[in-house]
Amino acid sequence: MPNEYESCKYRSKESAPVVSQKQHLMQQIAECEFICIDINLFLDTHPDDQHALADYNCYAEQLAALKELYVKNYGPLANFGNSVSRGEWKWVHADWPWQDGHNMEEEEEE
Amino acid sequence: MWIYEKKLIYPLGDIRPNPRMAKLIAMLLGGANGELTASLTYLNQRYCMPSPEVVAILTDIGTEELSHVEMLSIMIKKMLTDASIDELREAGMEGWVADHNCCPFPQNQNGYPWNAAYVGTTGDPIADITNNMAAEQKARAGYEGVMRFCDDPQILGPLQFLREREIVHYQRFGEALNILNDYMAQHQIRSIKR
Repeated sequence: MPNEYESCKYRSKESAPVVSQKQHLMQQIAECEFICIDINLFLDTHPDDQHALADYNCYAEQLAALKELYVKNYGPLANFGNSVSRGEWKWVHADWPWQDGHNMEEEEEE
Repeated sequence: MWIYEKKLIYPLGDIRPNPRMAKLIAMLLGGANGELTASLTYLNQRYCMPSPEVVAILTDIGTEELSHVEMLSIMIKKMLTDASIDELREAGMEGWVADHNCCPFPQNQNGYPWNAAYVGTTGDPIADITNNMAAEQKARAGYEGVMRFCDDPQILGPLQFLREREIVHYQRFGEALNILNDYMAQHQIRSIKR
């Protein structure tokens, strides 16, 4: 699939050279989700564009898989039943996006 | 970040034109103790809140309040749509419709526009959560005040649901205050760092 977002992806990788697995996965989610947001807006004004639609569905599936991996290993990404929290209620962990510990803890991936 | 879900938190039935009730419900949406104030207050307080559990409840209640803003907005829209000129005039809603058509708008029952000064953020954790407990009670009282004048069961049902949510939120904030007190004692936080 042609990827018009490669330059954006390259730049974001350059700016964060040393990252934990958790941070790396979050970075992948952020990139994939941004692609989805951008194509979503385009599709809103071009709902008949089959090429954009195919791209959107492809990235939406990738995003779901990436988020599933994150949620399984590190805890919920979303509230109100949109993520499970196995073992304990990890939603209250101190990794809110504005906190210093955000995505810093290295945890074992299953 | 936020993601929109294409559904309502509580289903709305067939809401008939009722500009008189739309005028009162405006207060619950864009009044001092309305849902918009609640949402922005809680979401804004999160950034200075030291306890992660309390950040979680502020995030979740602040998010839920946005779904209440949506419900009330739709109710106002439906209550203004297809109302006659005479009904609008009688309810004192002709100015609203002249200015905004049938769109919701954040202002109170007397047309006073929503004001950022309603947002109760001091950055002091105890003061903020105590503010929120009072805010939920004031909102609950506001729902009861509006429900006294409600003659339409299709409007009363959603208002009863929203009133009950204020009570649940009050209870959770009360528990959050206990968590916060313990957290601050453990971490020896007395006030904001200077």
